[in-house]
Amino acid sequence: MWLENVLNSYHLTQAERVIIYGSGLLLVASFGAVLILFLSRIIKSRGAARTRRLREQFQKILNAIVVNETFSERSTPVSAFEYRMAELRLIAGSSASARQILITQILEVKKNLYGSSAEVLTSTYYALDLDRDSRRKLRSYQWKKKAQAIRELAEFHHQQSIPQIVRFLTSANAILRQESFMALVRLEPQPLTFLDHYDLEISEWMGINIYNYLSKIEVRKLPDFSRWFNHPNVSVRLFSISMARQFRQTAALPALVDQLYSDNPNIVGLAVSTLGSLEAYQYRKDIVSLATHVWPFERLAERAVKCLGAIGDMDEDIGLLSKFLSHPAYSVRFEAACALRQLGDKGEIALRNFNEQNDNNLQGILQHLSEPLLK
Amino acid sequence: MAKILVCDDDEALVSMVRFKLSRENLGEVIKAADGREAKALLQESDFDLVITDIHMPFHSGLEITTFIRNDLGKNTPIIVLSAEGLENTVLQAFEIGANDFITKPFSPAELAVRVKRILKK
Repeated sequence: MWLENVLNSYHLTQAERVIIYGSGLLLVASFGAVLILFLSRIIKSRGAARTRRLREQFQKILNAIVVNETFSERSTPVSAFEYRMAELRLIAGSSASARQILITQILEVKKNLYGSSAEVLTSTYYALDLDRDSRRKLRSYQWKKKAQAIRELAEFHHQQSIPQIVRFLTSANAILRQESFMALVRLEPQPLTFLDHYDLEISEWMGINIYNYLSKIEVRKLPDFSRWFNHPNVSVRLFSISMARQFRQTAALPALVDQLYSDNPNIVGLAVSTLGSLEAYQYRKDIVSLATHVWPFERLAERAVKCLGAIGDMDEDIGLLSKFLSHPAYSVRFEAACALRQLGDKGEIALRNFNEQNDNNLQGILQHLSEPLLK
Repeated sequence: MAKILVCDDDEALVSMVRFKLSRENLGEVIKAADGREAKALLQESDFDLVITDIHMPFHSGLEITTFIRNDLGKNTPIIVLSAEGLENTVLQAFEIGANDFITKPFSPAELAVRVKRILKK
């Protein structure tokens, strides 16, 4: 009303009034936005300070728990642990965010420790019922929280949550699928049994992570990977062959040779490479037979030739490998030259003869092979 | 009292190591959160022991080891602490002058025993 009277006293046109009202509104909105930004900054910095304070408090208590409760200090009374739990309960209270900071801090400390030091932190997680918080997050609407929960439950070996985690294997979210896959690898008493019914892709990243985990567990606890060589899911077959190779499961060789007759070229290629890596001399003839048929397929030819370099016979395979020296693909010619050199003196002679008879067209490859820095 | 420099960007780990070593009365622990800070501290004062992680911002633990041995020309005992327990890395650490190598995850009790042994020498 007051503004109306002022504007009337200046006899402004309708357009001028609109501009003045618009500017006023804009000014108020800008002021509001600045105020909101200012308040949100205050809230954020207070939140960060609270997080930092809680982390420091938790860290101090966790240090005491790890150092006092491990077997190196057996004289510590059991009641000391209960006292520390009471301290943590008091600080975390019933605040979900404080309890989350505590879980994160326990994980931060636990990742660097092993043995009794790590076990006491797992006991702390359960003594404070933090598994309930993690399980609650599994029902969150946010995928990030679900993924975080899956990770926590796996880290603290919460086997009762396996049925809930299995459901995420078919989630539409790729990260949740990967997290649940990794969690199951860690949680199942027999690692990887869930692969029996797994029908999705195992990405290279998942493969690397699983290998990283499996390489830390006892060899006798590893599954026999050949049980998945005939799995209907090609991705599982490829994964299990590569794991059999990494863990040098020579008992899987008979089942592996059958894979040479697969109709999937990726499986055949990986099976060939694996036979070479595992030095399966007894299956040399199968590779020779394959090599005579794979000329048109560059990748397979390359792998078969490389495999023969590892398990071939100096007297019998030089002729076959020499043929590959005139293959149209450079990579195959290169592997054939490497393989002949691996077969010893006779292979070396065959290489030199071929080079002389073919106007030195292998010179580049031979120079490459002779370069010590490239070996 | 021994002066021990712990170089690691992992706050939780440094806090744990500091707590354990102080509790065992092994010395005063000084922290460096990255390679640059570690170098500055090493230039400023002498330490009785350096515990360093390999992967740190600015300079790696191996660079710190080389710096102590070659640039400063000191024989300060060095324990390299790393999540990377590859044979090559371990060998490289010993070749450039590390006195001990501990792979993460580790046991604080084991670390304390090793520190005690090194400081006694």
